[in-house]
Amino acid sequence: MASKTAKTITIRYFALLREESQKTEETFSTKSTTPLELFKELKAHYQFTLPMDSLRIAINDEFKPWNVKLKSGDDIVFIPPVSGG
Amino acid sequence: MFLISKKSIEKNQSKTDLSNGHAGAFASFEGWVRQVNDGKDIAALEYEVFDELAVKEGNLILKEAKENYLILDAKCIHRSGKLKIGDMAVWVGVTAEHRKDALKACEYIIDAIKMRLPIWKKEHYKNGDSGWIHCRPVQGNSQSAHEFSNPELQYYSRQMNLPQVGLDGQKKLKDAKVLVVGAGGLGSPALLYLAAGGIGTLGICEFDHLEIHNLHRQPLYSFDKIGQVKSQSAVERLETLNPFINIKIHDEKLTADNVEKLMTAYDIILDCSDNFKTKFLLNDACYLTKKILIMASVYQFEGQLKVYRPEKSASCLRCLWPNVPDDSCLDCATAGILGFVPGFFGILQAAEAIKQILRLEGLASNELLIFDFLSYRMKTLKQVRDPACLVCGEKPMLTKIDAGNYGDENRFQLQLSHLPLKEFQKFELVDIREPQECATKPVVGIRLKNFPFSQIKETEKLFNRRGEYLVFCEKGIRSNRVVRKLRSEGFSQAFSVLGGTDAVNEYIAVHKKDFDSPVTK
Repeated sequence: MASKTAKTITIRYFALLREESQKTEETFSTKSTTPLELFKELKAHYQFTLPMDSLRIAINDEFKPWNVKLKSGDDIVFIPPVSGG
Repeated sequence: MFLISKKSIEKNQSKTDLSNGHAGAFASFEGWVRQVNDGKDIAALEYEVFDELAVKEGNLILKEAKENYLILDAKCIHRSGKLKIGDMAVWVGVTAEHRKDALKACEYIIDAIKMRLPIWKKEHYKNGDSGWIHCRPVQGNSQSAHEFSNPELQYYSRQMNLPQVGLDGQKKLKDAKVLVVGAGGLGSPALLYLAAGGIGTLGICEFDHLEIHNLHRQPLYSFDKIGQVKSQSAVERLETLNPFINIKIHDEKLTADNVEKLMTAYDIILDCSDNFKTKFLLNDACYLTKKILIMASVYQFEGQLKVYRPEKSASCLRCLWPNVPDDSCLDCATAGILGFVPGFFGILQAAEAIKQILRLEGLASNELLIFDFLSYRMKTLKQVRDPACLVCGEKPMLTKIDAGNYGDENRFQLQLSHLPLKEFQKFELVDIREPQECATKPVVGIRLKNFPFSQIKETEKLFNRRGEYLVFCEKGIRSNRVVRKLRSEGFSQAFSVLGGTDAVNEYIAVHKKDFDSPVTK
């Protein structure tokens, strides 16, 4: 499967994920094929505390489900809900 | 050309300006100051004119005359300042090829001038009295009948100078009814700019008292108001800022029971709250009552902005987050916040409200704007409507506001349509319907357990503490009760399926080809 080859993607972090990763954005090389796999990979790496079901994912400026296929060059944003006011 | 003149009108010069070899007719009208008005003897009178707007509207009237009648040119001069009996107050001149066009256009112009120009007349009577007479209600093109006082027009003059605002736009703002829920970090600037912008009816829903640690991000208030009721202090401040608007206080906490009633009198709602429960209540209530909702939330150095409009392309907050999230994302009080972050987002909310009223372009109702103050990165993320959304989807589950949807249930309720298959397959599916119900609406094509609700007594005999369970019933009410009980007894991985049996069957239908397990029932 071609999708198993490593691809380079850009990831942007907001709110709690930014704090926990201590990064605003990074370029990342991954073999993950879906955002779900990618998140698990990152969660293991950064010890993210937010459960996956409280996050949403946007790829190339559009919210997408967790099971879409990732492509090289994708711009990924993980977004937690925030409530401060 | 339309002019306002402080000196007496030179009609001969104006007539010369209009002369044209093609003209076969010239019609003019002169308005003079007369001795008696409404039975009172007049000694003199004074015109006060809102110059910028009068010139703009006057020129628009002349343009309309040229478009509507076959005329060659038109000119009008209106006086301002003090006039004596017999002085000329207004002069209109029109040239055309034929007399009828010239006469008709002349009449059109003077009628429109009397009707639409922001001009006030102060009459000085012979008995020594005097009084301001509003020539006519200022009507602009929209013919709506709101009156603006002269100081009011001066107040808004700088924004009315914008072609996108004008008199018509200002009237729309005056007619608008906006409710701001939460007068804190977001609400402070939102209220200040909405009030200053001339929102005619402004509601404040806030029940807190002002505390010293509010002030760094809530500049609507002042140090001497600490300990006082916020809504009252807010009104006092806003009334000194703009005395021409109507401010209403709703000094109560927004709940599932009062949300719809509170919103009734308003067209646009600003969610300036600081908790998920209120945000989701407003989202659901605005969808159900078809009101515009402008939401903002902040976290440390960043924030999110979303506008919901009742239109086909709109997506709602629950399309993004089906359940009310728990508070693992901390609020301002605990996470810490710099004042300008909610300040900026509150201004964005006021901007979206004002643009909405003026029908200007704004954030689309299927977008989420995120902005980060540290990197100055702004993103507009597209979020299409989720057909499975509990509120605005094709088969909505939340069709009325029910207090039960905004409490703790949300922590253990799960919306199947958002669950990837791999995650789903980790769970044991538990049907707690009674045998009769299972027969009426069977769930087939998937492995599941059936523990009828009426027979669930000792949970430990049925459930394993380490197990991961998806519990469903017909509608989701009994499964909530069972899961609440399970959770309280330490079964931490038990979830209740939102939407009950229908949601399960739909999930099975969508993933039919992926289930390789034999049919069990």
